[in-house]
Amino acid sequence: MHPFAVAIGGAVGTLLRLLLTSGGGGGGGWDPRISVINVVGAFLLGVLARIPVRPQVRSLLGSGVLGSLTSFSALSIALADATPGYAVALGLLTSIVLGVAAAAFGMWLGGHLASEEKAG
Amino acid sequence: MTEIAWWGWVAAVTAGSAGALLRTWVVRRLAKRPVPLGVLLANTVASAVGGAVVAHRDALGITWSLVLIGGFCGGLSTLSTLAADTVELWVEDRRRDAVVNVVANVAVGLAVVWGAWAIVS
Repeated sequence: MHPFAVAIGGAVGTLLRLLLTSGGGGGGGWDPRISVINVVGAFLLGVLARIPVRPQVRSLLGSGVLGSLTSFSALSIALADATPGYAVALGLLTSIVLGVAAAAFGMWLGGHLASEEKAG
Repeated sequence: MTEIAWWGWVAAVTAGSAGALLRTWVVRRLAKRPVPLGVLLANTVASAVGGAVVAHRDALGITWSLVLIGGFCGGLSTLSTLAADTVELWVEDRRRDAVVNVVANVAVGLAVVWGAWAIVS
């Protein structure tokens, strides 16, 4: 663990998420933009998991930026926020199902890129 | 957006950074057997804190809600690592663990949000 890299990355990821969801009121109800962010973040983390990078860079981008950019609590907290049940379910379903698919695709792509680089 | 004090944005980003550090530490401390317990714990704690904050949001105000929910809880919880861990389990042919990982995060996360909200309200 590289604490400084995680801290900087966590700050950047949090800032990006807040800016990309600005106007959402800081956690009021489910915001569909969170699902988009989660799917894109899962894809990028999948790529990162398969390409060779320095441990500091992995901590900065993986644990820091992408870990904080994406959010599980933004989806779960909607349950206590008078958000309709179908919207809570839709938020969790889209984020998790598409997120897992995106991470799998990212890993495949990352593995492909890494093997090409090794061969080249 | 304009209702949120400038220091609230700084505090939210700082809280998100602290949440990321806490998550990374917990993930490293807890072994990934049988499921990634560190991510489960981080998502559970973030959901519980978020549920409690929502219950008192009127008293806390929009700035502190942003700091705690958008900052700390958002930085502590993660969806990307949950998704990547699930794929890794599936690829390792631990498909039951992959399904358990997702179901546990969703079920426990929703249960603690509701529980924290109900207790604090």
